[in-house]
Amino acid sequence: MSRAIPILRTLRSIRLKWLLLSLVAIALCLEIAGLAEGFSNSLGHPISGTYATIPSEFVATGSLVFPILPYLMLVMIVGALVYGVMGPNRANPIEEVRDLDLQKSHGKIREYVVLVSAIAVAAFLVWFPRSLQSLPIGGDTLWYMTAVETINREGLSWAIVYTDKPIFYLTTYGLQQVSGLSVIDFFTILPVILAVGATASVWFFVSSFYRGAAGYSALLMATSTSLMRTSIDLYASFFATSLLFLTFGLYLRFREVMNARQRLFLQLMLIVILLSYWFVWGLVLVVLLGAEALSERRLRRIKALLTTALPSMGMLGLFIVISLIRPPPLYWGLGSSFALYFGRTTTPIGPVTYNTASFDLVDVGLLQYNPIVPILAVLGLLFFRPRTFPVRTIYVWSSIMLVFSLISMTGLHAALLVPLPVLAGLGLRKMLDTR
Amino acid sequence: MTSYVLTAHRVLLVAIAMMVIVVSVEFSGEFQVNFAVPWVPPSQRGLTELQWIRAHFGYDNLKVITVVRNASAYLWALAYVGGLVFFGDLLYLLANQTDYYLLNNSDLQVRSSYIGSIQRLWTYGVLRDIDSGKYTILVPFDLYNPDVLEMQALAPAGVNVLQARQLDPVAKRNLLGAWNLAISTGNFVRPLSSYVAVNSMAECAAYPGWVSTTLETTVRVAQNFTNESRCSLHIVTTVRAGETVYVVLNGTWNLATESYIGFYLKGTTSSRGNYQLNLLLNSDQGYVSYYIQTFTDVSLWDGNVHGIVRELSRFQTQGSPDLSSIHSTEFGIYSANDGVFDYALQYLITAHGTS
Repeated sequence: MSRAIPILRTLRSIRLKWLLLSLVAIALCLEIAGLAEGFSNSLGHPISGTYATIPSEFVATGSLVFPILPYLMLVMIVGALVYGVMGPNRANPIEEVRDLDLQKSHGKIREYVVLVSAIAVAAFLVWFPRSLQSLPIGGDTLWYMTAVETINREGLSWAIVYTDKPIFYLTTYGLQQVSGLSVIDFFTILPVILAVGATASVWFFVSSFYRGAAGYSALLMATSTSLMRTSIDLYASFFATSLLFLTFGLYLRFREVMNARQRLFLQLMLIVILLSYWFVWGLVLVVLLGAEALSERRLRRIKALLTTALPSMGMLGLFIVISLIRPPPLYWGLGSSFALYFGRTTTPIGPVTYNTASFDLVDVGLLQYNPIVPILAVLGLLFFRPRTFPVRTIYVWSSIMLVFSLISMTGLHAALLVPLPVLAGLGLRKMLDTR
Repeated sequence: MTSYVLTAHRVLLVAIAMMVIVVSVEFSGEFQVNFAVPWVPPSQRGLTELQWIRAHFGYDNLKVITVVRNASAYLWALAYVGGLVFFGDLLYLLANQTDYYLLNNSDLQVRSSYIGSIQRLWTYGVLRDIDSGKYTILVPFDLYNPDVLEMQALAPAGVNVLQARQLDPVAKRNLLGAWNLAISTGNFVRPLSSYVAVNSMAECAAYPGWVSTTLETTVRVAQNFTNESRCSLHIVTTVRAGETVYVVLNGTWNLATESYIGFYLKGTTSSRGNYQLNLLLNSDQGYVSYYIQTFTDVSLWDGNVHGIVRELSRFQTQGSPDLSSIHSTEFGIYSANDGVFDYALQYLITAHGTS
């Protein structure tokens, strides 16, 4: 571990930094050329010309590395997390970081320009494949379309009585009604709306503790393959992810001095998350509890957090009681998922349980589509150690989601919830810091 | 100079930042083009069947159960028809029995589609009243592709759409038992014989009449490999890539009153890639008018006995063939690659309904 300090010091020397940056620039130029060829081929317009073989050779060489990338990235991120927690002590980095040397007014305008650009890029990338297709994209989209049609027929209560994500379904239904579009047309724009929401919420979250990196994180979120995968047909997950970032952002803003109105607002947010995606609600609480448990004055902090979470916990308990009193098929909403643990059945053929969880690296493969983001995320972890509450939150969050992403049953959703764009934004911001 | 260096340094950094974003956009763009695609849509015929159901019974009709058994078709049926869609095997639904194969399927999508569909039927009280006659159970032919035993529980309802017949509970259970036997043994000929009248198309005395169209094929009459008849036909043929090699039995058949054609097959092959067995019923001498059915299932070539039955009405036609005037029956092997096919055929039959 003691060798790490001289290495980091060496990396800080101006000449070496220049050399490294130049190498990075060359590598990125090659990558852009190679990817451009791949992308052009995907669209059915292969590149031709004098230097056409250079990108294809790059792609061919790159493809040799691709199979091991997920493992490499996983090892790098886990290594960076461990280094962040156990590495040699350093001064608190986040509080030392000042913003870029810009006039305040220009800085603010630039931040919003970056945010708007990120939103525009996310909207375009998510809308783009839909503009090429006439049929709905993604398998679950067909299911969500049916759900909206069912609410239309059965009424709003269907979402509460028969689904465990009532707020999400009611919001989707409400948006469809407000839009005035047919269900099939509405599901062309819903992912775009959710992509805009997710990008803006990342910006909101990061700006609550490091405004200078918020734009970078938003841009990397907008261009991340995790956002693209979520946009295909994981709409409930998409919606809940935005709420997750918003809630974390609010908590960080309100945490130090939380007045009654702020506490009430947070309590409402937790209820909304619970009624949108209870798994994400659980994640929020576990991450915040974990981060608070590692903070100073932890007992007071945890007590305050539990007070904030109490209404949503009570609501979950209420729904579980309802599911026990009125078991399926009478009531099949939130709480029914837990009824199994109380010996109740949720299918017409009795309790159905599967013990198929296994160690699985497939979903971590999501990291491989864009190796730049994990590399920047590693930089973010190395530069920002878990000595402040926001970074501690991100460390706990990343660790939990990385573990869950290795389990077959939760792999996909957990891999999508690893806050790589946030960490990458921090890494990129630090890399570009000229002081 | 320092200022210049710092400026150049800054330009380099900004360029790197921009390139990082460009690379990310490219990766995401490529990801979208490759993966953000519609869920495998059904065939055009399958979509037409769903449209027919929607046009005739309305969208979201809670008195209609549409039956499919493909996870993709399930989602498309939900989107097109709405209401009650059963994912699974028809006879399990009719007999109101749990299909443990689907319930414990290792494919998560199959399992969740099955559980999701029966949960929905349960919620609406359908499973309780499945025998009440309150529900119209529809099977889109192309999407479901019912086999000959399942056809015993179905009647035509519309363009390529079938409807479940009213059967008494004992008949349903028996049919489900026969179907399970057929599925587990790969033999549809024997279980079907309980439901239809079977006629032999060629007795053993006629088997020496089978001839090949090429010299690289040997055809001989051999011992039976099932107890259904006393003899079989043993064929060994070398098929070159892209060719189809036939064995032919000439004769005269009137199949106008028949509904099914069946036979036993036992074979192996050294061919790799795509290959198929063709059954051709020639209506003339020159391959101008004929009926043809292809069997692409590679598991037929696993060396085990398979009892195969197909509906004559589902044969493809070429020209203007006439079932009342069939002049030759031909089995052909097509292979995309070179390969040797060693197979035996037995008990070539036709069958028709008894009711």
